[in-house]
Amino acid sequence: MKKTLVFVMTMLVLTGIILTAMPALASDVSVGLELDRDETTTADQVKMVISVSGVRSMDRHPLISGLDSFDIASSGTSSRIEIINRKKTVSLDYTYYIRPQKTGTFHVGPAEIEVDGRTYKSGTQTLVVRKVSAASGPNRQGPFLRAELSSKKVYEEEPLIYTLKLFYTDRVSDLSLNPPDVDGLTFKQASKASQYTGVYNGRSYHVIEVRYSVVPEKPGLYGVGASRMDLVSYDSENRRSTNGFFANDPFFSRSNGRRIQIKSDSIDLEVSPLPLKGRPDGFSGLVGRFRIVSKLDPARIKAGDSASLIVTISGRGNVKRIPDIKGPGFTHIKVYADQPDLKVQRGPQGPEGTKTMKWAMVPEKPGKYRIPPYSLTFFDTKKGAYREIKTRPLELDVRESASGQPPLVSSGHTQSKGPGGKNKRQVKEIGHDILPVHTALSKGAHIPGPVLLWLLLLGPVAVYLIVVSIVRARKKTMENISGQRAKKALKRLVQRSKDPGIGAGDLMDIVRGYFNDRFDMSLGTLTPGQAGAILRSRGVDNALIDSLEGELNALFDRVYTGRGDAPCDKNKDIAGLFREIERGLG
Amino acid sequence: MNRSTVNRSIVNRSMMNRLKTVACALVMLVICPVVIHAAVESVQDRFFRANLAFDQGCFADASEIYQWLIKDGQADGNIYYNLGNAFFRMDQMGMAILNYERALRLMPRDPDLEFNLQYARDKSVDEVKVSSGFIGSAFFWIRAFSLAEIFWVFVLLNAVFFFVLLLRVFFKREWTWYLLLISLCLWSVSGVSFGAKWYDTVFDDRAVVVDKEADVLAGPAKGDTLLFRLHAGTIVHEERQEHGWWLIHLSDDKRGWISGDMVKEIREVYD
Repeated sequence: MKKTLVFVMTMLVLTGIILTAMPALASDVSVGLELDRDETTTADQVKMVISVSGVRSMDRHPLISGLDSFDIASSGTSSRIEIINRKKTVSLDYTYYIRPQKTGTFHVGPAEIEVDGRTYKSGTQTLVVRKVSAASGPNRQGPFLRAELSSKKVYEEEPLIYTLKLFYTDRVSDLSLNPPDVDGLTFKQASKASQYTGVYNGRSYHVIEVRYSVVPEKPGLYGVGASRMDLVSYDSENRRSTNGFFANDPFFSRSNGRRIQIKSDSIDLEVSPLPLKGRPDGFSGLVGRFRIVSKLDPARIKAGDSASLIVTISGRGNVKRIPDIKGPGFTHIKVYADQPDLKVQRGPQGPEGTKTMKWAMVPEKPGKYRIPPYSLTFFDTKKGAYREIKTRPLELDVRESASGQPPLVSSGHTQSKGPGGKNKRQVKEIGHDILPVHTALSKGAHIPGPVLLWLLLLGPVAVYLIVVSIVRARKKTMENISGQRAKKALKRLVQRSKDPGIGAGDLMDIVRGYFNDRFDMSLGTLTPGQAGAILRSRGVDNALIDSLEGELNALFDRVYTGRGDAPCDKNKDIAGLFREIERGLG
Repeated sequence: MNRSTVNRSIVNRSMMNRLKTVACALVMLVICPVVIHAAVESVQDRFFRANLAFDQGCFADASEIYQWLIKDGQADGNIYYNLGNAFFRMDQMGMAILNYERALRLMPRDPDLEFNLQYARDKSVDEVKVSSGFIGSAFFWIRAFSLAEIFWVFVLLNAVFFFVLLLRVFFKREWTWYLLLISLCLWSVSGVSFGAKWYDTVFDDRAVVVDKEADVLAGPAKGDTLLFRLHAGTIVHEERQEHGWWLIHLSDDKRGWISGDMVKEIREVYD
């Protein structure tokens, strides 16, 4: 029993483990490559993380291309298990620090891994490596803050990057950063703070870098004021003065750290107005670098079916100014516009965005419909001029519908393909109102009045109790009748057997009469064996039965040897024996 | 008058009395169903008349008749639903939502009612998250049934359970044992569900703001600080009443006092 229980428990635990591991085994494998910056100097280290999801462990490190001009050092591997909405994800992160050997623009990646004979590749990331700036200023002691602008001369509304770097050698904590507050310039954090080791003035520092995206709202000359950072600095001199073993541990150091405030330098920024020359009429104010593409899906349909025209504008700059494109207009095509969808994200070089505009087109007649090119005008900050870009012209090829009948085009909104490839149209709500009154009273369930309610609830209980009581009472009555009959039978036997001159034949009749009365029988004759069997079936002790059988056999002998009428001295023994039997039956 | 004549006269009188009694009984037997039928007709007629008034655009008249029917004890989901429609048409959104909510307690799966209630809720001003409460969350299935439906299911399973129990008294076989276990499970589930639904119905503390705008104050007096303002159709939870003022709270734990004539309980109280 115990062994079975242990076996069942083990099987349950194993099943649990297997079921837990299943999602990890079943999940998709993917590889990602991420650099903590996209711009660095030859003196700085860049953190690179290769994330492999869908595997628990790997025998080999990933193969990473594009690192010929870099020194590379592994910083270890970490595994991660995430359970989000009951979905389990296992991933493995390989962390490296890479230091460029020369300046230039490099494409790092892809990282390549092999799992179960299949090769998985990551994307690539571009890293711009610049020369280390010449030493400017004296060597500094303690932490210091440096600010940089990605460009010191920009056009109005042209986003630029403001980078703040905290250089420190000893431990710092409780950092609190306040970017400058300048009228006409909007600061927004562009990326998470990154941490790496860098060189400044030939000295190695720990660096914490924070990037802000800055948008100048108006032209003019701006002084980007100092950024301030509050922090607690732990002075190495103080720590060295403490006793050797715990010297580097701030916990045992006598110095508790100093709360200090450090400032960056101010930087000048020149914001030029957008030139009037060449400015197109109705210019949206879009500044940056953008591209526009259009697509027809599908380009060949039957009359009455629908095709989607998708125009996408994407790029970097003041993306919120991307204008809405006017949809196409045709005589024989019904056009239903979707709500334009703008997605903005923070990029390392400033805000990036994509605006997608969609139209569902349902042609009524077959033919070839030319969709003209769509254009976008913006101010190209690299070229310093207005640019107009266009999509390619498209052609929608519409064939005769299968029925040959002109299709019914009703008002609708967006179309999608339903089962069987048939175009289904989403139902558009045209009006709103309540539904009408009900014209019949319900014939459904109602709670009855209290009397009927309690009757219904307690009725079955009552019926059950009554029936059970009756059954019990009857059983008791039967038991009483049986008891009384037993008493009477014994009494009669004792009384009749009292006569000292009673013969064996009469005694046999008295015993038979007892059995008939006691067990409600109608035996004509009774043998000792029958008597024994009757008593045995009622649970009487075997010793008593044997004694009774012995006495009855003796009586039988007397009867069948012709001494049945002669007085017999067995009457007292028989009466005593039946008293004991009755006690046994009781 | 001799003795035999007197006897005959007594016998005749007694016969006449018996005949009269039988005739009265017959008349009552004939009339009673007619009277009862007439009363049923009357409710149907009034309901029909109210619907007719509604169709003719006399929403106030229709609502009066529906309310008369409800006060007369006709707690029917359709009457509450129609009353809700009448108030909706009279642009009394609070009263409309109140009556839809009352109808929902009686016919929780009616699609027309769900549609209209949702539409009325959409038209109300305040956005208040509706919490289903502990009972509603623990016994989530009871929301789909009315109290009467759950009651009748319990009555049936109660009868089945005691019948099986009785069967066990006479037939102590294996199959009666399994039958007893199954009926015990069903009896317990239906019994607990009935209890939970009954509690949810009887102790329903929800009330609906029926005025267009209702100020919720810091205390039960007109001069107290205004905490927030509610609009018609918003569902609040009543905590207690004091001198015509109700202490209420919203699901997001905003509490305050509101004048009692600006809100009405969903759980209807008859005096």
